[in-house]
Amino acid sequence: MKVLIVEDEADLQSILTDFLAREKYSYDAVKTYADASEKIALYDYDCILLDINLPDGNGLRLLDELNKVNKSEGVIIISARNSIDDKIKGLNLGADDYLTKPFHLSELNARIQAVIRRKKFDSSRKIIFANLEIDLAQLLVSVAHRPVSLTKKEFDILQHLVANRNSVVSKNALIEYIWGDYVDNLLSVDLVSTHLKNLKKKLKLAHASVEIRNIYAVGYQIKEL
Amino acid sequence: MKALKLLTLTSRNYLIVFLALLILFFGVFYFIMRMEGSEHIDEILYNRKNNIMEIFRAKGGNVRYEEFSFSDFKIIPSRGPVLHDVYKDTLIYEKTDDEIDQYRKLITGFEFKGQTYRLEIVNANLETEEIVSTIIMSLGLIFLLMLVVLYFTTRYFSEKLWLPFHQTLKQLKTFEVEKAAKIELSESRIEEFNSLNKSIEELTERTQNAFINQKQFIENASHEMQTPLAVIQNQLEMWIGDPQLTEPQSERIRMLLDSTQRLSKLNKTLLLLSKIENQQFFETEQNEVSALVTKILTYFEGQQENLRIRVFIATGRSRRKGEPYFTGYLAYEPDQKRLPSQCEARNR
Repeated sequence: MKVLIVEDEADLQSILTDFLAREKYSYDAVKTYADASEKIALYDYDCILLDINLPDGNGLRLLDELNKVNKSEGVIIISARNSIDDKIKGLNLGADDYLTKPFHLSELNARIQAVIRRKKFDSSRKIIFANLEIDLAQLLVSVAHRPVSLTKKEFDILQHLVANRNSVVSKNALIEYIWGDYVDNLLSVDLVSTHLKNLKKKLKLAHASVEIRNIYAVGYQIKEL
Repeated sequence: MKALKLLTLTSRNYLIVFLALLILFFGVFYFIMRMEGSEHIDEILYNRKNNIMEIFRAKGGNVRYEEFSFSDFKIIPSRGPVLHDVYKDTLIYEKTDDEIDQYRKLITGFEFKGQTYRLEIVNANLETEEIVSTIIMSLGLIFLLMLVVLYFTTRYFSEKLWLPFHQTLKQLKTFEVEKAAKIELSESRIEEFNSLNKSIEELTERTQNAFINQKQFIENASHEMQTPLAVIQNQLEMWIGDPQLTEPQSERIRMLLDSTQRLSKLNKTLLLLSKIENQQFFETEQNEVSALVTKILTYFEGQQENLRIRVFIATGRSRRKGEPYFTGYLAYEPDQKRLPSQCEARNR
């Protein structure tokens, strides 16, 4: 799976490339509109992470170009501007998703996966991890083909952790993924631990061969046993 | 204290001052007129007294009242010392027109051939009274008329005079700093108002500019902060996956992550706030309370499940007044028993 990173901020770009490497994606990274345009013409990408504010042009124009060559790649706009207008504009031009800086890497990962899944219409609406099977379309989880009843939030948590199984999902990232950024931190830390406790209990009862680990106080990671 | 209109206040104050002056003036005027009148009559009485005494002495005390050209006096033999002149006001009943009239009376005494006499002379005050009252009446009427005319003309002219001011005020009331529209004030014939309008125009323009700049600044600043925040946050997130991290190091990273998170939320709030305060959110929408509460309740799914409770909510309109209300309670799930808890909200 190949990802193109179009980001002019050197530090952010280097973090993104590190992250994508860790998540086992292959990637190209460019800093300018011109380079990006060239890469698009030459290669096909499964996903493009696009910063709109580029030194030599507006990233939105790249969307136009993509439309022209009929390469409706899964584009995720990464922008510092978070106004509704900008979002609508980007999505109207054919972007698949819009992420406002600063974002969580786990969130980005989930979105990249979603974009790639959408591109491959087939049975990839299901994620399989250890003896877990997560049906994203029907919001169902089964362990060794036996369904496990989870609440919506528990399902979201599990799915997000599985999507980021290669890395540690920070507590804040999890909270934001599940509840959006309107929930106050203090309140939701306790919320997330309650949900996690329930989720762990349910998975254990269903004999799932996974374990959700607390990584000190920082975050969580799901591991295959 | 209730604020008054400028016009009402000035006309009222004028009216009060004018009325007070009028009362004072009439008081003083009446007093002076009365004094003058009394002095005049007293002089007549004094002359009469001299006249009477002259005739009395000339006739050797044996004189009949008919012999005088006037009859309003009495001579009474008295004892004791000779009286001095005393003038006073008195009321005398007049049979002819069934009225009590005001008179001026002189009481005096004199000695003639070893006998003391008391002499009382009266003179009607009528003339003076009449003159005074006529003058006061006519003057009062004139003043009243003047007052009315003055009051209305002042009002009329003041209204005209203050018209540009009220126009400016009206414009200022509708002025909105966040709108691009400049305030336009009409030219007036009065210099002070013109300079006031000019100052207002300048002030509002400066305010608008400052407002736009400030808005721009907040937006820019908060946008510019997003990328560095992303760098910090994402770098920290890369670190927490590092298996070589020790617990204290993790703890430090957590602190940094939390702070970064706070900062980024603050930043978003700041942007949102600037938009709200700039009233860029012109549209308000109606939200259904029950839907909102249901959504929030999903945040607490875990707790509900652990405690085996369910939250029941209901919305509707009260039967009597048709006011919307919202109500909810908790119930223990196994036996559906209501727990002693309740919330209720009504639209005020």
